[in-house]
Amino acid sequence: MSETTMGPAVDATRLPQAPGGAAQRRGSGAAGPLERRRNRANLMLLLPAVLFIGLFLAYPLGYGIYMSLVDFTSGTFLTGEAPFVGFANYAEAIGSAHFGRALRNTLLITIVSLAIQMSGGLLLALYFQRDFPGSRWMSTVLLLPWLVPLIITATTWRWMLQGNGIINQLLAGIGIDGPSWLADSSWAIWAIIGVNTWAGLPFMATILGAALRNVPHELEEAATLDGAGYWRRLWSITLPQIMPVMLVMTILGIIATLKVLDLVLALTGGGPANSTQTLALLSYDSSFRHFNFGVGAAFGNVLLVVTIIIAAVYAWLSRREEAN
Amino acid sequence: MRPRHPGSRWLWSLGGLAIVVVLLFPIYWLVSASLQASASSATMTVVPTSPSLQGYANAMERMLSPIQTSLIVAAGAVLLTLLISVPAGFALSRLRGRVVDVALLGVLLAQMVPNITLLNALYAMFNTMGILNSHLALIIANATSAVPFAVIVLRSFMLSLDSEVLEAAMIDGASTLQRLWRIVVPLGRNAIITAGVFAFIFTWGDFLIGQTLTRSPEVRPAVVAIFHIMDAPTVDWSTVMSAAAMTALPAAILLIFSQRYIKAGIGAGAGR
Repeated sequence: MSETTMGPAVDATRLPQAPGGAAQRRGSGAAGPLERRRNRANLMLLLPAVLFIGLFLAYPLGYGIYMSLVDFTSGTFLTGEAPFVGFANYAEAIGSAHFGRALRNTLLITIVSLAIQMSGGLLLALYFQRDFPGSRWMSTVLLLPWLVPLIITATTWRWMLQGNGIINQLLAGIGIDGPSWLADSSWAIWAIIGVNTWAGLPFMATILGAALRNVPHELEEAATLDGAGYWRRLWSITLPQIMPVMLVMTILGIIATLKVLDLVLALTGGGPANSTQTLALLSYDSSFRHFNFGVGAAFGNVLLVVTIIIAAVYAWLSRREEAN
Repeated sequence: MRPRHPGSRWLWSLGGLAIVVVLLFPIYWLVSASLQASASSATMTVVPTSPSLQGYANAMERMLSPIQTSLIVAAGAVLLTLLISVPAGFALSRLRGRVVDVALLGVLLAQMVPNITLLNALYAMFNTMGILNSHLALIIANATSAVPFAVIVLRSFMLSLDSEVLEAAMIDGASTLQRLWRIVVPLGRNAIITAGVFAFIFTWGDFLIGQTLTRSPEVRPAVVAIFHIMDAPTVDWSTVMSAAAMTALPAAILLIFSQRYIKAGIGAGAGR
């Protein structure tokens, strides 16, 4: 079943480039009375979703902008008073001692984990695409780390990464004296990147595996007849064919990693000495530890802007690609 | 590089097994640690020499209520998500033109919003509504993450539904809701299960919403409860690991029973 549904499904994630393609083709006939009645009925079916998204997504987003422009503290909940302060919250957020570090860490975690997840996921997908006994159940079982809640992943790794934990015991076995990963301010960020990579790898491998199955067999066969070897076919046929999927995965991966918070919270809490601060964590800390909701909202909106910029760059890139 | 001899296929199997063992090692370590009461990370052995269920006994006491909360919240979020997304996904698969473009763009944008950005405002909003620290708040907030994903998944599956059956029912005078309930739901069963499974996975694994929108232990989901056990000044790791294993179990069970849905859904939405 997954094979048959994967085609249109993957297409759906690329819809911004080809808006409503399939739907437009579907009803190209003249709009009769039945058609119009049906359209009205279908619009009604959209109503609950529009109301829900409007009330619990769009409205809070707008309210978040308002919060970031007023002095919104825990006292506001009692008195209802939130004096307008303009961009003071943003100034405080961006001027905070940890902002630069948090921005750097956020980008570092995102870029490095994504690069490894993408290349590692591709290698895994290529490996398990081969037909050998067990290839199917193995690639399914590999999904397990992705299904385990992130806090549990973090908890387990925190135990494994302790100074005398299993990771360092294994390293000692090959003569390496490992640091106390999570307590060492120069290593902690790399430990987080490692765990995040591990948690996201199965997801990448699964998507790329599905993309590989969608590459038409005839292309590969034709290339084989022309005398192309495995690597040549991989480079000239397979990779270009799955490139669109890889592009989508890159953008989705970036967006998902930018907001990674639970992992950092459970592994290091931003420490030691703020060496693992991220934008999402600063927002969380401001609002829910220091109850300074105005500054928390400002951090949150900065994160949102970074996300939007990346999405816009992606949309621009894919439109240009389509034009070519 | 291609396996030429039958024997080399087994070499590939062996390599695959090695990859599985390495990548799943942390999960083995989790289970192994949960069975070694009062072990420290230094004294713990790879294979439990004298396995004990003491950790599970300790964890049971503290996790029973959080797991119950997680079940209520996850079930509620799945139900709410499907009630909203099934009609929307179906409508978007039948409508055409501008409405669809705008709606899909909105849904894709909604999926990109970082949770923490939303939670600041949701906290204030739920506080005003008087539903902070309740199951309802957790259900609604989790549905905000699940609905956009579910709409995309359901729409892409329902594009392939046969219009003729639907049209026949329409001419017979079935109302919109009848049509949805009697025809779309049975025909789209697989898609609905997929969307439901994912709403469950999101909600079950959610930490941030549970952590920010709850204050008292009675409404704390399992994942948040584990964090609180772990963050205590003295940590009994076998208890933490037992609690973690108990909470991760649904993931394993889910993988066994719905692997084809999970794989299809990952391909479809791809946006966590």
